[in-house]
Amino acid sequence: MKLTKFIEFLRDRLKTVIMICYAVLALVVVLDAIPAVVDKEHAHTAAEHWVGFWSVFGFAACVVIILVSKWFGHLGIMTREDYYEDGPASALEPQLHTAGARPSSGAATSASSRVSDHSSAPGKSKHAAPGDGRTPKGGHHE
Amino acid sequence: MLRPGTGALRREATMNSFWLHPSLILILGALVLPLVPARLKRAYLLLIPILLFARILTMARGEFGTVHFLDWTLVFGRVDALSSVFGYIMSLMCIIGTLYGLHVKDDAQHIAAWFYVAGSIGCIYAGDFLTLFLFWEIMAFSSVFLIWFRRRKESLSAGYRYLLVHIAGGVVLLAGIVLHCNAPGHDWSFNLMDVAHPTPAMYLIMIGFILNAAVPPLHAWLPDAYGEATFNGSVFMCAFTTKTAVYALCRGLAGMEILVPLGVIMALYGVVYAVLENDCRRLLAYHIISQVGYMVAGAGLGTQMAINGACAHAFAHILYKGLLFMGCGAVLHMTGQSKFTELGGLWKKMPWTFVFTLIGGLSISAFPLFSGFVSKSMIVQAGFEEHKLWVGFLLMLASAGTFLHTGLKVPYFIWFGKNKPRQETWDRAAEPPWNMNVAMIIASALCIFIGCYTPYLYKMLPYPEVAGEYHPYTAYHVFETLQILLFTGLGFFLLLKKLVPEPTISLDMDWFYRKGGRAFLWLARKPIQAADTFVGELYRVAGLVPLMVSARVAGLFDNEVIDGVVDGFAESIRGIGRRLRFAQRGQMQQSLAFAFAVAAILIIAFLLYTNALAR
Repeated sequence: MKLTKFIEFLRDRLKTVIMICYAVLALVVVLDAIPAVVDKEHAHTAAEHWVGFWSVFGFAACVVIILVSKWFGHLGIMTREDYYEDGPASALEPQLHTAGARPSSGAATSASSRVSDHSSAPGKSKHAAPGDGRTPKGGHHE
Repeated sequence: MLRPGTGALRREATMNSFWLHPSLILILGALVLPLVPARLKRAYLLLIPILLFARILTMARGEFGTVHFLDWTLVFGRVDALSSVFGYIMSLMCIIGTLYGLHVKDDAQHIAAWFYVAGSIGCIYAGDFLTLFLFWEIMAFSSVFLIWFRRRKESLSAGYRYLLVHIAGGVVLLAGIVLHCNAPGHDWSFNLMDVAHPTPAMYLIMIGFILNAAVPPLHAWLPDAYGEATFNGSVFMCAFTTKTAVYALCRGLAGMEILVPLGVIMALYGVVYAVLENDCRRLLAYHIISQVGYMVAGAGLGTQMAINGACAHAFAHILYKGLLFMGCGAVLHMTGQSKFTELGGLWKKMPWTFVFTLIGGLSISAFPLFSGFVSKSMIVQAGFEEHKLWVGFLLMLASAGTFLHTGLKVPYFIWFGKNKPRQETWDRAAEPPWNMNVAMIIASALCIFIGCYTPYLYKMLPYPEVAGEYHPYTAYHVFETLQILLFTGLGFFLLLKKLVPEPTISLDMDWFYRKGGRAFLWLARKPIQAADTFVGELYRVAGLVPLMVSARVAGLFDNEVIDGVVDGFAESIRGIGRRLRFAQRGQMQQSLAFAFAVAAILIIAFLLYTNALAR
């Protein structure tokens, strides 16, 4: 496929690509400084008249967003993936599976599995159906 | 309230011809869908949304479908500049979304999606609060099926949470509507409210609206649901619920001061959570919150420029966000994965999906020549013009964050990056089916077309003359944007190590009802279980035990021929008993589906009745 070849071509010359990117960055700042190219008459504040103001703004914005968000996330907002599976409801999980594993004794299904039953019982057969139309088995995506 | 005089006049003035409500096309189309033979199915699936689009294109401006119902005057069809632009883009998205999921065999998924769009379009054209509320609820109840149809254990609970939040929001909205409309001097018509003197009733209505717009702290349902819906369900969901809410805000609460800070907070909140997110579709969902923040702020500013901006941005957003969800949906559909930690280096397998997603990413980041550039800047400009500098600068900050995630993080960590997916993920990865590709091509083409040829969008806006005077492609604006975005890109690659996705989830406001729900469940389970056990036992003892015993007694006759027959008989009876137990227990979703179907039929009857009256 041609597109794959093209991406491969660029990846093989990564150094050149990076150099071109730096050149573009410099060019944008230089052009921004030339009044004949960029007319700053409509700027809203005095700061916007400084050369490269928006470059600094963009870079600083990026750094601030990343650092502040990561700091915030590590305060305890980011947590393990099974966080919500803990607690009282997870106590039902093993029973749910044992109930499902004894199809012939449906009559004697323990009542404790009832709370989460709408996902077991007939739902079991649905689980086997392709969830998103194309999953080979299980309908589980992870 | 009751205004027989004006209502009658209105009806006489406009109601002398049959007015076909666009939602009716989708609802009837959806109900007929299961009867369509398999070989015609794909053509039919495309035909109905195209008919809808054609109907909306040919609709004359005015007020139609006015019905007197008890004490109320219901207006089903208010067609004006504001509703037309939303109706246009939503019906267009319905075509693209249906095309994207064309190969899905399950009729029910298409039916749910169409009912959902019908609800959304019904809200857009509603001229009074009751009609608005009716369609508002149809939207919530039909879209939940788009989550459930993914059929994972997580989808089921995510769907229930989604429903719970929207029902709560609906109740608040209804309370606000009733209080507002019964106040002296008010009627049920849905128009701009007196935003300079907000009443408690108006705040309730606002809460109902902003819950659907996913304004923090009422936003957690959005990433929860959209990350869990089916691969094509999310494509629909990302377009309709929040944008209908934006429409409602523009229509009813334009200029409400409090929406400006709320919108700015939203724009930044979504960005912060997007940094932390490991699931690409949840990341996109957080960026919906961020982008809708621009629109909410625009609605709050309330100037003609700002309302134009909010509508233009909603228009552009529906297309590029749909495109992004289609790209990530294609990855999910083909590989079964949506987490960055499970993906990487897919450029060899899905290069075209990468290109389409990148176009979506550049559009949402407002790169020059892409759609976001000509729409987002109107809102920022309106903020600066109102001398709210902080609004302008903070929205600029958020747009740097948008490029950082959607333009860079999503494409980089899915299609490049150092991470190697598991072998089975890698083997499954391939370009998606043709219809998904075509849908992405159409959306990409529109994103670029809107960005390059501004009159297409600007002429549709509610204040076309104001939009006509706005020129996004000034040297200053182009260079301002390029500097922000390119230097954000520089920051991204310099801080790449910091951004490597971590296999975590992020706690959000849904913590309260997810953990709070546990406490409730724990309390409720004991008595409910006790009752359930009792009933279950009753069935067992009264139904199954005697049958089993009789079968065993029969077996004791020790006649080998009879033995087999009787055992078979007992087995089948036991099977019936088992089914009986399930019926008694009742599948919550099936009952709900049944209830919604009945509700849908009632609504159709009602719409037909409306049209009959109209004639």
